[in-house]
Amino acid sequence: MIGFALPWTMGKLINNKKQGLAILGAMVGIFLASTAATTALELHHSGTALTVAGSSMEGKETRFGVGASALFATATTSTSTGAIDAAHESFTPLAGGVLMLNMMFGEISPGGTGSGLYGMLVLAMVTVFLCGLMVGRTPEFLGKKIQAKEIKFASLYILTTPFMVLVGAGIAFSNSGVRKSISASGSHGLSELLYAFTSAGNNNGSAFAGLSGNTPFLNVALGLAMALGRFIPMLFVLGLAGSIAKQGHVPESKGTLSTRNALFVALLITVAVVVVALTYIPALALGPLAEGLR
Amino acid sequence: MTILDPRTLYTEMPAAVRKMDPRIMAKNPVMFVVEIGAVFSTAIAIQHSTVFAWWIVAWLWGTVLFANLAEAIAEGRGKAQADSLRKSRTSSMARLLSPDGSESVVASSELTLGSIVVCEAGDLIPSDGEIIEGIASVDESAITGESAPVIREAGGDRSSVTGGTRVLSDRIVVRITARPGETFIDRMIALVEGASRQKTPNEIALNILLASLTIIFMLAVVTLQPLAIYSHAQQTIIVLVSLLVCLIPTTIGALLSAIGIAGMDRLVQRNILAMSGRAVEAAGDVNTLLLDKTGTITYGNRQAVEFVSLSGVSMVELVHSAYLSSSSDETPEGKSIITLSQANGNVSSDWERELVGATFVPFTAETRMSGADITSSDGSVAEYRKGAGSSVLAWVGEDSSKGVELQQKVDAIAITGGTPLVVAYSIKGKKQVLGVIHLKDVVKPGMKERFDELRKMGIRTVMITGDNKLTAAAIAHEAGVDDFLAEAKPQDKMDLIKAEQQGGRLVAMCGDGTNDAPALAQADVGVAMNSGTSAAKEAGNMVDLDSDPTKLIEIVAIGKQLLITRGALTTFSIANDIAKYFAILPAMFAVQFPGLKKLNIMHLHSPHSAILSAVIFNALIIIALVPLALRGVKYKPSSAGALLKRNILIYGVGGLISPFIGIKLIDLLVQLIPRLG
Repeated sequence: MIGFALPWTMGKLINNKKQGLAILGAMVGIFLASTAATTALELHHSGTALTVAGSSMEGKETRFGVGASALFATATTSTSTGAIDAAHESFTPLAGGVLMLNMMFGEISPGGTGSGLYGMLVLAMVTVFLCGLMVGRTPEFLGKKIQAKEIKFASLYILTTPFMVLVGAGIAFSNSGVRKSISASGSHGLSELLYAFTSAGNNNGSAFAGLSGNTPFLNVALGLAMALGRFIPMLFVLGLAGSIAKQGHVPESKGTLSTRNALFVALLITVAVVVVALTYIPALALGPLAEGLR
Repeated sequence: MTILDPRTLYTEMPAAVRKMDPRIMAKNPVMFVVEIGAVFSTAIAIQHSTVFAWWIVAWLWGTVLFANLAEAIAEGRGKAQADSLRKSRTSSMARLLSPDGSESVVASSELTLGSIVVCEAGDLIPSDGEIIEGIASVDESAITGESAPVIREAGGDRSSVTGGTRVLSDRIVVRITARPGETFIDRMIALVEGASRQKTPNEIALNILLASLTIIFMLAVVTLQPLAIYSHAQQTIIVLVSLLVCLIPTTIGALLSAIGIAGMDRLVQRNILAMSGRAVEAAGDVNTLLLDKTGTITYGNRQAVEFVSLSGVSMVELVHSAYLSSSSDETPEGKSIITLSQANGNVSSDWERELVGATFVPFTAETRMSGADITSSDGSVAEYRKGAGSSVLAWVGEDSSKGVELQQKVDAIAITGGTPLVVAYSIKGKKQVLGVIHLKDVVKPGMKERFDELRKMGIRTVMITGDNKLTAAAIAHEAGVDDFLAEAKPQDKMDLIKAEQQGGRLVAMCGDGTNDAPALAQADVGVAMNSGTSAAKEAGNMVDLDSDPTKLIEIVAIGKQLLITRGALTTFSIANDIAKYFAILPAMFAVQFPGLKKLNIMHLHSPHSAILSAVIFNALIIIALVPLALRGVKYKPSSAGALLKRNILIYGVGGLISPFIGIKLIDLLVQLIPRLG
């Protein structure tokens, strides 16, 4: 709730409700797409047992059923809540992948209280930078120029979590002790560990149920990923905010890229998907995709 | 010059190879990663020689080479220009004038700041300077390419001369204002060769973004191996390097500096010298354009546009008198009256005959009239006059009946910003006022459309003029500028620029006089006219060799085009990655996980052919886009929204789809390679 409310608050603070709505629009867009994908992937399944049961009910409360479970799972992975009402491990592989993707976005739809908003704003600045160049002006967002310094902070912000997740997972997989913690075999096992690091770096540090996370190595590694994945980006966001605050205000003109219309929302979602997906797709290919595509 | 002559691919090859030096490559992080990858792959291919490995290695080196080639071609285009400039600089001699008046011949390279030299007809001016004595016609074709000579004289705004230009007539004494090696031509050579090229703010920001994307993909690829080993799908280094090279934004990384060089080159081709790339970029960001009225918006001389006759006077009678009074008038106004008479079709051949006995009465400050006295066959003299209303009325004497009507017509013209010229005659003692000629400062054709374009781009135009408010308002309305500054003094211009900048707006202006210099320096984009003083040229950050103030509009367009080209190719480069995933990921893992074959939507022949095709596409797209990088993305002035939609469609969606087609086509060829596997 708070996550979705913050863009609205921001709109009021900057005296530009439309801008707040645009940011909200991007959040809602990703959230709805993810919910739809999870639900569809849960209903559309291929395993024998699942076909018999009619839908993927393993690990789910029969009271909630597939639809509500999918919605709740999307909500909990899109925000930093820890609650679950179904075992994410037991989701169909591709739906589990979507849940991971929700977190990999860096928690922006709508994300944690405050952190979702700044995550989305950083992505908005990257979007503005790419699109702003295409309209032939130094990119501007909210009347502030996006130049080398701002891009530096935004890039560092975007770099941090993939670094935690991928390097963490990479080291973990090279460690033979860790492999014993993985309950499932093959690509589902890969998903278990990948989910753990994704969640640690971005979300609440939960893991698929099958992973025995209570080993010294995993506790330290996941703990580090959690601490660094949370606080380092904040430093970069503060740096970015400081650099922007120092600037004067640039008035808007017809030559300025509008950041309040539907086109911008669509572009923002695209950049979020492309920047995130392009980073994690190789890893996802070996986990959920390898498992889910038959 | 064509955009890309295929032969330059060969002629610039040596320069491209020289750029492979890692010390040079390190300046371009994206391509440096490719080069390191190529070195690694080569080492591995030597150890475990396979057809596939060697093909990949060859195309990785090809990618690096193509990137360097793009830069070399962009630089090469400036070199030809630099060579011809250099010729005019070579070892000319100067006639140094000592304080005691004696002359001595020294090499021009020995001249220092403040040296006084003499140049006579036929002499090459040895260095940049200011004329302190004399007037001369000068051939400046060496720098402007314009063969018509120009007049340069001591004092005023046309006193600067450029080293390397030739005096055609007369004698001038010049005080040197440039140190050896820092003359205008030296700077021009450095500029067109790209030697003094510095990265511009947006280029730096883009470089940071590209570098961080490169790091992200390195992370993704490096950490993939432990995951792959766990999945029993270990990959070879060659494959991982291929994946990395395909994912990092090589297209824009390879073309980025070529785009910058070509942008400067496009300015040079239009005879504009930008002293820094920063200024070119600022031009794209300009919010407010200050334009001088005279010479920029209007032709600068008033022209007759209409005859207004008083009641009881026929139009033919008025035109007749106006024609006769102006027949020998050499001023632009006089000539325009003749032109207008002829255009009205009223001129009869009889009038020419009347002119045989005419004596011209020139304009004087005292009479404030001009005209002609015509002696007719009977010996009587007919006097035809035109001039300012009050003077002509005084000349005609009391004529109260016409006075009121005349005043109305004169005021009507004045209110539209025109200049009324009253026509009268005196024939056989009878003096009569006939009517008024409407003289107007004529707005150059097409200006309104250009200002409309600028408005669409979000740029506000402000006209600067010394005219009174009434005249300024009328011309501003006619030309369609957004605002005007009337009765402007140099200080007013400066204040206006500062006020605009206070509000965060970027201001562009052009000027030529010494009194423009402070404003030129204050403006974000200051274009000095080459005909102007050296103070103006020193203060501005661009010089227009043709001294055409309307070029400011083109400069803005070129600045925008530069940024758009960068943005479009970056978008294209990133959008390309999606197709490459579809090619490479199934190729890497489908053996272990057959389900991933579903991702092979291009139905590529084999894993090896798929990876090689992606690498080849990645390399060839660089060469394919070189012409676009050099020419710049097509730019049509329009609003930001329209531009964005168009460019997203072409470079975003195009960048998404084209690699699917390209990789598939290359795969069809690549699968024919024997023993590729």
